[in-house]
Amino acid sequence: MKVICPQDNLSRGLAVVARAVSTRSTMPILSNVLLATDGSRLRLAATNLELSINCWVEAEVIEEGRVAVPARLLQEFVNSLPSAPVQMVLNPANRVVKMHCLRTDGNIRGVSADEFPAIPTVEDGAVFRQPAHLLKEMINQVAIAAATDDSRPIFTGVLTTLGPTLSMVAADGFRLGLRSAELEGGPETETTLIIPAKSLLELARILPDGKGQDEMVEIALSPNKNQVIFRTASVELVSRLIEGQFPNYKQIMPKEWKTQVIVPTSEFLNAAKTASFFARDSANIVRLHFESGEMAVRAESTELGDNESKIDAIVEGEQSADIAFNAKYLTDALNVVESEQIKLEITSAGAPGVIRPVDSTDYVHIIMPMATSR
Amino acid sequence: MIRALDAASAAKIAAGEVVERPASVAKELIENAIDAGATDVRIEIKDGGISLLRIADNGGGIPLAELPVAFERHATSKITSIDDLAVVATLGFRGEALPSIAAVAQVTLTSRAAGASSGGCIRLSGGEVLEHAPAGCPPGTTVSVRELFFNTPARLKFLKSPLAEGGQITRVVGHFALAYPGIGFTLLSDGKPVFQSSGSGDLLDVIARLYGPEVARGMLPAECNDGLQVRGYVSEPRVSRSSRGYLSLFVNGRWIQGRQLLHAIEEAYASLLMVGRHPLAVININLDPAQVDVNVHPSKAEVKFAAERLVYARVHQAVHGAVARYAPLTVIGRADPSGSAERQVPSAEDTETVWPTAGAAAVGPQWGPGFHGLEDLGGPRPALGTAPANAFQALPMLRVLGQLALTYIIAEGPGGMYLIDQHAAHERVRLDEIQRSRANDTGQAPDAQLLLQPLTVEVSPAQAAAAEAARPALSRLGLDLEPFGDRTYLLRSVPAALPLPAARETISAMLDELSAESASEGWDEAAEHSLACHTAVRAGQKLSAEEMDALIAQLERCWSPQACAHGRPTMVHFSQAQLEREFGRR
Ligand SMILES: Nc1ncnc2c1ncn2[C@@H]1O[C@H](COP(=O)(O)OP(=O)(O)OP(=O)(O)O)[C@@H](O)[C@H]1O
Ligand SMILES: [Mg+2]
Repeated sequence: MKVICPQDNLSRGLAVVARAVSTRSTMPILSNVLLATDGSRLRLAATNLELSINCWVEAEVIEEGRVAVPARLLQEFVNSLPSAPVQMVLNPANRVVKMHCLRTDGNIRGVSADEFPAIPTVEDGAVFRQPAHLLKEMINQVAIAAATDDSRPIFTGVLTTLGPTLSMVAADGFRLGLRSAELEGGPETETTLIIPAKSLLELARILPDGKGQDEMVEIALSPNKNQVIFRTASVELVSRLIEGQFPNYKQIMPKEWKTQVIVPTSEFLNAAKTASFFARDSANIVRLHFESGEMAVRAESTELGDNESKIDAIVEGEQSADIAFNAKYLTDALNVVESEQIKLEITSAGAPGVIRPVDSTDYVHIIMPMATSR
Repeated sequence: MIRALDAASAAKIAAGEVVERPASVAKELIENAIDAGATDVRIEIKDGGISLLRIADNGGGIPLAELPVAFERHATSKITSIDDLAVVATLGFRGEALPSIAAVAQVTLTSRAAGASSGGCIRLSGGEVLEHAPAGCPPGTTVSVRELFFNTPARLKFLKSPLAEGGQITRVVGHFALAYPGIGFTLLSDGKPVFQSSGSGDLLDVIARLYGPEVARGMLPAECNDGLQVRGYVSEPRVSRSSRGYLSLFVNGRWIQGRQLLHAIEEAYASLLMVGRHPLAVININLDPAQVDVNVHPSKAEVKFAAERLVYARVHQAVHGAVARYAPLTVIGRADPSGSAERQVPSAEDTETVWPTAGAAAVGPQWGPGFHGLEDLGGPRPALGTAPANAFQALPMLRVLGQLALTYIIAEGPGGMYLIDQHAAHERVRLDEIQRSRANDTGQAPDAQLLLQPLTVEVSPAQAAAAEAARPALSRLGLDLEPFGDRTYLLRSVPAALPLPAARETISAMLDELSAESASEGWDEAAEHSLACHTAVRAGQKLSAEEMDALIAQLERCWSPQACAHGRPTMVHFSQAQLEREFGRR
C-alpha cells in the first residue's frame, strides 16, 4: 500500500471513525483502525462490534493495500503533523506503515487487515433517503429521552419506524420524545427497528447541520436485518439493532389537556436553567405555577435559598395550575424543541406534561411530573 | 416396619439440634411426607409457625399400632443398621425428627396407612403420649405442631418475629418445590395462600411460581451427564440478584448449602456478572448414594462427596455450557483471509451473543499509577485513628489520590491521609438524599418522580409478607407500590432523589433484606437504610477520578459525613505524625 493524503483530510477522517474504536481489552484488534485503499480513496474503518464507522477520504493511491494500525497512536501522530500531504507506505513483510510528512517521519507497526472484523455493507435491498440536517435534528430531539443505563436495554434504543413517514421515539421511564417527518421513498408497509440511541447520537455528530445543505443520508437494513446502515457521500455508519418489544407508547400519549400555556422557548429555558442551580440540592425539583397570564418558575433548597422567574404566557383553559418537573428533563426538552415558542399542556400535577413546538405537530416531548407537597 | 436401631448404630448417628426454629420443624415433616411417597403436601402455619404448623400429606401413612414407635428415639423404617447409611435413598434415616419435635411442642399426628380401612391418632405434649386411639381420617398423614418451645422458654426467646420465621418456612417450602416439581406443595400462612406449586413435574413451572414468570423466561437449561447427573436451570447473565439467596442446590433431592458448589456455579459465569451481582440457579445433582455422605451435619445441610472435584467440575461444566454463549466477544467474524472481500459479519448469532454491558462498568478514565489492586499496605500497620461518628462534624477538605483494592478511596487532607470506604460513604450520601425528600412526621408527602408507565414488580413468596408489611414505609420514601394481584405490584413512582434505573432489582434486594430482618428498628428506618445501601456503589466497583471527586464533594455536604448509615465509620485517618513515625522521620 502506498497512498498520499492531505493531513487535514486524514485527521478529519480519523476523528470520525475514532468514536467506534473499542477500548475493550478482551479484543485488542478492535483498538485498531483499518486503512484500506478503495479506488481513488482511502477507507478508514473502526468497529466495536456494536457500532462500526467507515470513512472515505480523498487520497492519491499509488499502490493498493490494507492494514490495521493502532487507532490512538495513528490519530495522535496525524494530528501533530503540519497541514501538508502525508505519505503512507506499508511494508507487507513486517506490516510497518512508514509515514512521511514534510520533515517528520514515523513508523507505526500494524497488524494484518485480515484480523479485523468485517463490517457489513449493503449492496441491494430497499434504501430510503432523508436530508442530513433533518435526520440530525430528529435524532437530537429524540435520543435525549433514551435511557443511558442498561438495566432495561430496550429503553436505550430509539424505536424507528420506516414507512411513508419516518418516526423516532425514545423513552426512559420518565419522559418520551417523538418526532416524525416525511420519508423520501418510504415504503407503504412500515418496518420498525430499535436503534441504540448511542449509535444515533454518533451519527448526528457526524452529519452536517445547517438547513442550506442538501446532503442526503441513505438508510438501509443489512441483508439479515439485524443491522442498520446510514450512508452519506463519505461516511457509512453501521449499528447493531436492539431486539425486543418496545412498549406501546401510544397509550401514554395524553389525549387532552386542562391548561395550555404558550411561552417563548428561550425565556423558559433560561428560567429553568436558573432554577436548576437552586434545585440541585433538593432532588432537582423545579415548580411551575400559572396564574393570570404569567408563568412562574421556582426552585428552593432548605440549605441554599430559593429563586423565582416570571414569564408572560398565553394561558388557555384553566387559568391557575401547578406542576413540578425534574429540572434536567425540562431543560433537555427545551434545548431541542427548535421553535421560537412552545406549548406546554398539562392536565393535573400528577399527569404527564406535554411540550410541543407552537408551529408544528411533528414533535412531542412528554415529561412525567414530580409529586411534591413541599 | 418401624423399629429401634441397635445401640451401636444409634450412637454413631450424628445427633444434635434437629429443631432449631419453626422452619426446621417444617423441613423434617415435609421430608417425612416425601419419604412416604406423597404427591400432595399442604403446609399451614399460624404466626410464622410458632403457634401452629400443620403438614398434611397423601402418602403411605403409618399403621395405628406403630404410631407410638414413630415417636421413639432412633426409631425409623428407613434403614436397619449403620451399613444402610451408605446407600440411604430416603431423606430421613435417623429416626430422630418426630421425637425431637414432640419433646418441645404439642404434637398431634393422625394417619391412615395405605390399604387400611380406618386410621389412628396420637397426641403428645412435651414428649409424653397423652392419647393413642383409632380415628377416622383420609389416607395419608397429618401432623400438627402447636406451641413450639412452650416448655423451653430460652429457645422461644431466640425466635425472630413471626414474619421472619414465616419467611424462613416459605424459603424451605420453596426449596422442596424446586427439588420435587412432581409434588404439589401448598403453603398457607394465617389462612392466606402464600405459595402453591402445581406438581406438574415441570421445574420451570415451579421457578415461575416462585420467582415470577419474568425470571422463568430468563432461565437457561443446564445439564451434564458424565459420571453423575447434573440438571437444572440457571439465569441468563442479564437476570441477576444482589444476594446468593437465589442459588438452590440439591443432591439426590436434598437441599444443601454446599459453599464449594455455589462457587462452581458463580465461577462458570466468570466476568458475565457485575461485582456484587449473583445469578439465579436451581441445580439438581443425582449420583449413587454411596458416593455421598449426608450424615455430616445435624440438619443435613452439608454433605460430603467421595469425589468432590468431579462434582465441582460437572456442576461448573453444566452451568458453563448454559451461559458460555453469553461470554463477551469470544467469537467474532474474521475477514476472509483469501481476498479483500469482507464477509457479512458480525452475523446475527454473533451480535446476539455479544453481551452488551460486559466490562462496561469497569471502563473509566484512568488515574494516576500504582494504587490499583493493592490489597494490603504491607509492613507494620500504624494504629488506625478511627474517626469518631460525630454528627455535625465537618469533613476536612480532601484531595482524592486514588482507589485502593477497588474498595477504598485514598485521599489527602490537611491532617494527613484518609482512607474512605466507598460503599459506606456513598450509603451515607444516599441516606441524606433519601431523608431530605421522604415523607416526614408533619404529614408531608414524599417528593417522588412519577413513572411514565407503571412498572410491574413481581415478588417471591418469601418476599410477599415483607412486601405487604413494608409497603407503607416504602411509599413514605416515594416508592409507590400498588397491589396488582397475585404477588405482583405496580410501581408508580420512585424517590425524587434517586432515578433508580434498575428499580426491580433494587426492590427485590430490599425485600430480601427486609424479610430476613426482625422489624425491630421499625419498617421506616429499615426501608430507608436498605434503599440507601442498595443504591450505593459497591466495594469492588472501579470508580473514575471524577466519580471519586464527586463522591467526596457530596460526602462533605452530608449531615454526618464520618459515619455510614449503620454507624460504621466511612473513613479512617492516618495523621501526618503517624506517617512520620512509621517512616522513622521522627
Ligand atoms: N408423613 C409420614 N408418613 C408416613 N410415615 C411417616 C411419616 N412421618 C413419619 N413417618 C414414619 O415415622 C418414622 C419416624 O420418623 P422420623 O422423622 O422421626 O424419622 P426418620 O424420617 O426415619 O429419620 P430422620 O430423623 O432422619 O427424619 C419414619 O421412619 C416413618 O416410618
Ligand atoms: Mg424424618
